[in-house]
Amino acid sequence: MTTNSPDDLDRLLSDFFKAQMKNPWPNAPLAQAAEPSELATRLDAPRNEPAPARRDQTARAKFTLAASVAFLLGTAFYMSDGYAPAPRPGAQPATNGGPSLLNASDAKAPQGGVLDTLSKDKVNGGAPKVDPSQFE
Amino acid sequence: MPKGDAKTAGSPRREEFEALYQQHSREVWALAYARWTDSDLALDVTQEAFMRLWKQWEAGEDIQNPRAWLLRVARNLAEDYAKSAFRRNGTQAPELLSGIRSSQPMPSDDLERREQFALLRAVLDELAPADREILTLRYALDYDANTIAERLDIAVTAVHMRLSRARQRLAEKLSSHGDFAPAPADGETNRP
Repeated sequence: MTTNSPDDLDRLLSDFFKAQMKNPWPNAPLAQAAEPSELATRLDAPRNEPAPARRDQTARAKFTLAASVAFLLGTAFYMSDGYAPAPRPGAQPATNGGPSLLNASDAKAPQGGVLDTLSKDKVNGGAPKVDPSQFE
Repeated sequence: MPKGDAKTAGSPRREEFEALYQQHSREVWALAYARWTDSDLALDVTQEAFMRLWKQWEAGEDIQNPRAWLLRVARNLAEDYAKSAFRRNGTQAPELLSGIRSSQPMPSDDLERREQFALLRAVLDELAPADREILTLRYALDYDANTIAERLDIAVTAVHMRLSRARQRLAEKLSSHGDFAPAPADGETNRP
């Protein structure tokens, strides 16, 4: 084929596109199709249009989230015995003769013990002289 | 729309649907055709879009702008075509689609015309989708520049420019096949 003017191109395009369209133009689809049932409509939800509002599911999700947070907070409150911090064991000297933790400033080695003897010998430059009887 | 109105045969809703189909179906088809240059596929997309509009109505959805809705659905369907099973399955019964006449009636002895159209389709496929869209609106639907400007939401001068360039690019591609010698300079003719 040889087309050599804009009019020829116009004509060619017009003929081409007109030939692409059905003639006669088909009827609307519902004129031929059985109408879909409501159930089928809901099961076959189209995915190309905007999703419908789902208030029920949103409300349920919010309620579930709120209940979960409340449960979590309640559990934490219960486990912590309220908001007041419990006294730590050993933070204060025991008054009933039980075990207690000593402050670092109060800790010292017992006087006259083996370590004290070793320390004195080392200061005097001699070999440690330990009386074996101390260990008996 | 109250629920259930769409189900009533011969209801005002049915008449409104038919009117919308008559008014917009060719435009929906043109949009799909411009995307894939496949007439039958474009018609499938058109019918599917209208079927979905009906389903939306039946489900009680209120669609404020049916034309815009249809075009959006058709555009999505056309885009999804390559990556989905829509072409194979669709949502309509096969017997409905098989009732659609295949391709355009063309005399078997009109071989040259067949070749022209085959070449033109191949060249159109090489164009940008925007070029195909404006050419389809102009030549398939016979829209004038004002209508195209309204449909594409662009200025009339932009329509003239885009149309002219699309035709020029088409002519160049045809000429590269030795089938068309583009006219010098003036480009677009002043069709209505």
